[in-house]
Amino acid sequence: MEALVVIEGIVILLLVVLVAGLLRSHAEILRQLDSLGAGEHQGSFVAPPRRSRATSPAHTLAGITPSGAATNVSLDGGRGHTLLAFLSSSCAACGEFWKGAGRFALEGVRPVVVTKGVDAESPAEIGRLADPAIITLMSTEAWEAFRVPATPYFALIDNGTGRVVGEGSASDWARVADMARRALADDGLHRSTSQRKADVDEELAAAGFEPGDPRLYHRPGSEA
Amino acid sequence: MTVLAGAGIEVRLPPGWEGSIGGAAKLADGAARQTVAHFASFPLPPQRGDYGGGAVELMGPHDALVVLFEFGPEAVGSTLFASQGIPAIAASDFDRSVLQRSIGGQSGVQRFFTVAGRAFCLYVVAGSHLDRSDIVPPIGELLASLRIR
Repeated sequence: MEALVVIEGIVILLLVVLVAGLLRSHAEILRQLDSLGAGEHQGSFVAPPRRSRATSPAHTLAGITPSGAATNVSLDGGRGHTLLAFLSSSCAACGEFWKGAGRFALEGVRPVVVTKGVDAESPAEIGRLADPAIITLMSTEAWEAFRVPATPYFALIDNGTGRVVGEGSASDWARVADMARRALADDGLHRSTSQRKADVDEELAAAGFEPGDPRLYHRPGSEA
Repeated sequence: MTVLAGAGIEVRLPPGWEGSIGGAAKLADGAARQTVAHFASFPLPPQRGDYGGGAVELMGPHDALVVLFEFGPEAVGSTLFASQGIPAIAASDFDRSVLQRSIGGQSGVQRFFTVAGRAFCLYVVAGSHLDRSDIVPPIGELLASLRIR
């Protein structure tokens, strides 16, 4: 009888250890999914503890296009926003993004697909997957600078200030666009006076008004 | 400043500028593609014509586009490319009529020259002719840093 009680105790102890291990493993998986934006917070760019609203880890991305052109993409001192899409040719979840890249359209946001360099990817394969309507840059240095944790991964950069205004992962372009829209709306609350002036210049230029245009110095309805 | 190099061309890009240097190649249809470089103070679109078509339409009044287009070896030694060395550009050189694609408010400069036995056309577009003086200094920095081998 005593032996049975001891055996039962050992079994219960082993079960407790097993359950504790499973719970710990489950918690670790949830934590990693959450850090990639696949958890409950998928509606927004995630991983803010990494560097959201911080200076971009690179002012310029340098690499080559699949056709071999040496290319630099500026992430600082310009205008608008750049959405970096870190994709790879071997990642199953990236297929959706390779196919639909040309359909991503968000005013003022330029998407740039970034793959690892020729040391890790085939230019011919990337050229086959890439949408010609989107800049595709092969640069391992860019991956290292942004410390890309997994693919697909996205970072939204304010080109005027060089800040990362959002980053994370998503399951399709629609969700990426949604996340970018929210990040831009949040970021718009923090724009400086000079940034707003630049916006006005751009809008006037788009409407055909050059600096010094005489139409700017007349009251509406008055004789020109 | 960041350095961009390719196809025997090296340049230091002013802050906020970006660029692309595509080397000469033989295309699938047998045609030869010459070396073309685009440097811009604004985000370059992925699809551009050799002389900036597709990009000049996106220029704002404070933007500049610099194009370097290489001609074949048959051009070396011709009268058009007799000028030696990389030319400098002044605000007075810009002309509204010197545009590959005429867009209201813009103006351009075109120069032909030879460096290191290679014949090039330098084509520069100002987003606003009235404000061209603002973009001449960074263009000057860029051209002064240009090295062609």
